[in-house]
Parts: sequence; C-alpha cells; structure tokens
Amino acid sequence: MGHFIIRRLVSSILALLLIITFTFILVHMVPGGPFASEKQLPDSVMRNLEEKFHLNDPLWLQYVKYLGQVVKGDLGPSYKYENRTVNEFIRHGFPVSATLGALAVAIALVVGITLGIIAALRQNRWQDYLAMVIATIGFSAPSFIVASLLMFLFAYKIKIFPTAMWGTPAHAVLPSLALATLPTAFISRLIRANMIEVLQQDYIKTARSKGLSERVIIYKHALKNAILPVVTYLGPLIASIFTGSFVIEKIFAIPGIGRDFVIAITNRDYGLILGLTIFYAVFLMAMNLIVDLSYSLIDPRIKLTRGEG
Amino acid sequence: MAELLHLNDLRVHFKTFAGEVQAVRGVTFSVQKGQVVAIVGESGCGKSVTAHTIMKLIPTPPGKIISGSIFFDGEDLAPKTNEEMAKIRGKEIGMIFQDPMTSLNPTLTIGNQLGEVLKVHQGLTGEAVRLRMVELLKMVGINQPERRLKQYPHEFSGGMRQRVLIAMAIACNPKLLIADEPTTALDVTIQAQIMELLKDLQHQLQMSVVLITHDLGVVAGFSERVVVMYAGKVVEEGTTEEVFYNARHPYTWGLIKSVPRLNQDRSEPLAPIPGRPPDLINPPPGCAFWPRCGQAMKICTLHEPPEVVFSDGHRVSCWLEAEEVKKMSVKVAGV
Repeated sequence: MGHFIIRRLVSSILALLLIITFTFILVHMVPGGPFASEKQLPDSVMRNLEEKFHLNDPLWLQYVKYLGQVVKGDLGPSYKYENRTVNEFIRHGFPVSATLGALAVAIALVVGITLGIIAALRQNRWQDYLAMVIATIGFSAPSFIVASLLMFLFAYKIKIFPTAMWGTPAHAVLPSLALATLPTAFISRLIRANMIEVLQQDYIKTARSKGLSERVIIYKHALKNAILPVVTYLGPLIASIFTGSFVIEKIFAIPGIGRDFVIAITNRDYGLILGLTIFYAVFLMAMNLIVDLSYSLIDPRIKLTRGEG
Repeated sequence: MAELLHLNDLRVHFKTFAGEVQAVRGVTFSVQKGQVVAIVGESGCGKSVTAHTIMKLIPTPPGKIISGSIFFDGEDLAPKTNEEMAKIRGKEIGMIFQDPMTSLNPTLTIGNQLGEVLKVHQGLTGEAVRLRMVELLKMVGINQPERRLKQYPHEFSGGMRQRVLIAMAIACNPKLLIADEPTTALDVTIQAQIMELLKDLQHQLQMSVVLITHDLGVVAGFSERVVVMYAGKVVEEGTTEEVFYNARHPYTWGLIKSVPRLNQDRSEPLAPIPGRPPDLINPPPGCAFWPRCGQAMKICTLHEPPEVVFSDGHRVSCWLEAEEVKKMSVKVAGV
C-alpha cells in the first residue's frame, strides 16, 4: 500500500511536469497575447507591461522562473486582473465549484443508483423502459440544453427558483440538477447492467437458499458487487464536476473556477490559464488515487501492490 | 420411517424463445426422515431443476411449476410465496451447489455470510453467533475457525469453500439437505473428503439428504435409494442395491455400464450410451429413451411405458417389464 502510493506520487509529478510544459508551450505559441485588444496600447505602455510580467525574457527563462514559482505553490499573477493572483482566483472560485459539484455528485449517485436498481429488478417491464428512456435522454441531451430547459421551466414559467447567480441554497438547485443529468444517466445504466449480471451469479442463489429477504439480497449481496464500476467512473467524474462545468457555471453566472477558466481563455490570460490547468491536473490525479485506494476497501480481492501500480 | 418429502407428479416448464422447455415432466418420489436419496441422470435430464424446485429457487419467469405438489413435512410448498419460502430455506431445508468457487459472495467475509443465516433464522446475536460459527466450522473440518471467519472467500481453496457452504447449509439443523452435484467442480481427492464429510454430518444430525449427481460412484457409498431420471421423468427407482445389481431399465444399464472400472483394460474403450437426450421443447411420444435403446420395440415409439412396481418399492417405466409384453415374448419363445 505504501509503495503503491509512493509510486503513484512519483508518476503523478512526472505527468504534471509534462502537462505544465505542454500548456506553457501551447499558450505561448498561440498568436496574440494578454495585452492585445482592440484598443492599441502605446509602445511604451506595452514595454512596461512586458517588463513587469517578464514577458520580454527568453521563453526558456520564463519557463524556468515559472516552474520555480509553482514548486513553491505560487501559481503566479493574473495578467488581466493585475491585482489578483491565480491562487486568489482558486481560493474564491473553488469552494463555489466544489459545493455545486458535491451536490451534483450526490444527486447523480442517489438518483442514478436508484433508477439502475429499479430497472434491473423490473427488467424488460415498464419500470425498466421508463428508467432507461430517462437515462437515454439524460445521456444525449447536452447540459446547456438541460440548463436552459430547467431555467425556462422552473425560473421563468413556474417561478420557484432563481434564474441565475449564486448565494442562497435556492440558487444551487437548478445548476446542480443540470450538472447531474449526464452522470445520473451514466450511473443508472452502469448499475442496471451490473445488477442484472450480478443477480445471475451463483452467490446470489446461495443467498436465496439461505432464506434471506430480497432486500438483504439486493442491498447487501448484489449492490456491493455491482457498484465497483461506478467507483471507477466516480474519480474522473468528481474531478471534472468539482472543478466546475464550464458551460453550467457560465450559463448560470456562477462565480466558480469553471467560469474563471472560460474567461481566462478569452482574455489569453497566460497566468490564469496555466494556473488553473495545473490545479485541474492535480485535482484529477488526487481523485484517481483516492478511487484506486478505495477499490481495495470495496473488493477485498484487489490488493494494491508494487507491480500493479 | 416417516415421510419427510413427497413429490407428486411435479411438472416444471421454462419459457424460452425457441418454445416451452418441459424440463420436469411428472416426477414422483419420496424421501423418508433421515434417509439419503440420490437422483442420477445425465446433464439436462431435469435432476437439478427438480432439486431447485423443491426449494423454489427456479427463476419465475421463465420457469413455472405447471402442476403437481411438493409435500414437505406435511405442507405443500408448491403454492407458497417467495416470502413464505424464505422462512423454510436455510432453516428447514439447506442446499449446497455445484461450484464452490462462485457460490460465495467475494466481497463479504466468511463470518458475515455464515452469521447471517443464524441471525435471520435463529435470532442469535453478538457472541452467540460467533460461538456457533466457530462450532460449525469445526464440524465441517476447518482449522483455526476464529481466524478463518475474518477471511474472504478468495483466501480459501475450492474444497474449503465447499466446506464453508456446507456449514451454511446445516447451520440451522435443517431436516433436509439438498446437495446439487456437490463434488462435480472439485478434484478427485477433495471429492472423496467432501463425500465423507457429508456422510458424517448426515449421521450426526440425522437429516435427510437429496443428492443430485451424475457420478454413480458417489451414489454407491452414500445413498439408500436411487432415483434414475431421463428426459424429465423418473425411469427407475429403488434401493441402491436393487438399482445397481438388478437394474430393469435399459437406460440404467447404460449408466452402470458406462462407469469406468479400475480393473478394466486400458485398451478397452469406455461404453457410452449412444445418441443424445431428446429435445424437451417437443418431447417425442412414447418412451423418450427409445431412439437410444438397444431393446426398443415398435410400441416404445408410440405409447408411454407403464410403471411396473417390484418388491421394495423398486419401480421402473419400461415396456420390457410390462405384463402384456412379457406374455407375448413367452409365446414367441415357446413356438
């Protein structure tokens, strides 16, 4: 276990270094810069700005300096919002994105697992078809459509939730529903397929032959086996949802880091793009590590060894 | 001896895309208290479906009990609901299955899986459960039971898992144990150990056993009576001695002849029964065995054979034993 974690940390650091390098090269390869806008700045102002952010240094020097900062945990300044650092953006935006994400993941798990179990137990009956129709719609409708539809229905037609913005619990309802649609659909399909397979296993027959109730058979014996693929999916899901769905945060004008990221790209804000990318990468890696560690808790046959790392 | 289980004209069908499979077509036999009865027959003859039907473990749908009754301890199980059956399963009737490798839940400890039977049926809790579990594991010959209870199935060998499954099946001192090919998936030396264990436990607990097998060697040392099934029907039934030494049905002869003997010359080929069992979606009229039977007569292809009863409840369904046919053959021989 200890070896496994160390190995994973080392490979994560290498992967992170690659991500930083590629992102750094990419943002600098794109024509234009953070200070290019419709209004042409005077040359002297440009020179001062470049001086301030060391943009007139050779690229390799900028890269080395940037890496040095990142190692110290400083993701540098934003080029566009001169008095704010990337760390500040994350400090303000991430709690918002994480709250929204946690809600969406909770909805996806509860609704997805429930729908999946119902569909599996009523296989090829109307309950199954209904659940799978819902899942297919959720799977194929893009989140911005779902978001607009929810806004139209529950904020405009029936005025029970605010249309957009952030602050009160009511503000969180529509965006977290919109964000949860796709993972809910995915999880319900996953659980259905796995439950159907698991319920045909010999150990379920053994459980029945012991005189256990259907409830115990389904929730204790079947679900624990059927849930493993969901855990696999949960790692990247949590990472992508917690760090904010760009589209949803943009549509609902939620001050999370997803929205910040979109703004950073339109502004060619090198500092913010790089910083947020690194933050995403670290978060994703951490989530995947947690998921891998949790496998061995759910399925005792999985042992984390050096070889498998 | 009092009767514990009586199956009367049991019929079980399965709906499939190809049609309705008549897996069990009128099976009748009884098991007395404390008696061991073996059901033998080749794959697909309905022996396993019969066993699962006693516990009502066949999936419905596609399976369905079409008619007949399953009297257990004076009560008919056939009309019982799943909830009513749950009170009987594991408590009154225990069951062990063919493949111990897949019959235990891989994500739960042995103690968890064994303990739940005791909690559900006997209302035991805490320390009482643990003590009884240790006792049960000792009964089935598992060393260091305390440590083993905390382990998961993948830490056990096949033979050990079958022992655990046996412990689960006998945990509540059931009146009847159904063993559905308990040794088929194990290697030969382990097979013998498991059969020895079942024999010991049967003596110790004085329970009745229905042993499903296609291995006549397993039957010989254990069971008092043998039920021979073919194509969903009982073709011969009697004491083990009668059936082995005085078999009346050509199918039973074939089964006995096909068992390899130790003193057999290696160059001598094994003697299989030629052909294959009939399609049970459209079972043929007459005797289901006639296409594979060396003694088949015209009447076998047209009419179902009558059941003829000999001494000791030895009964056989074959035209060769029917009075009418016997009289005729005497006449022919006398000419």
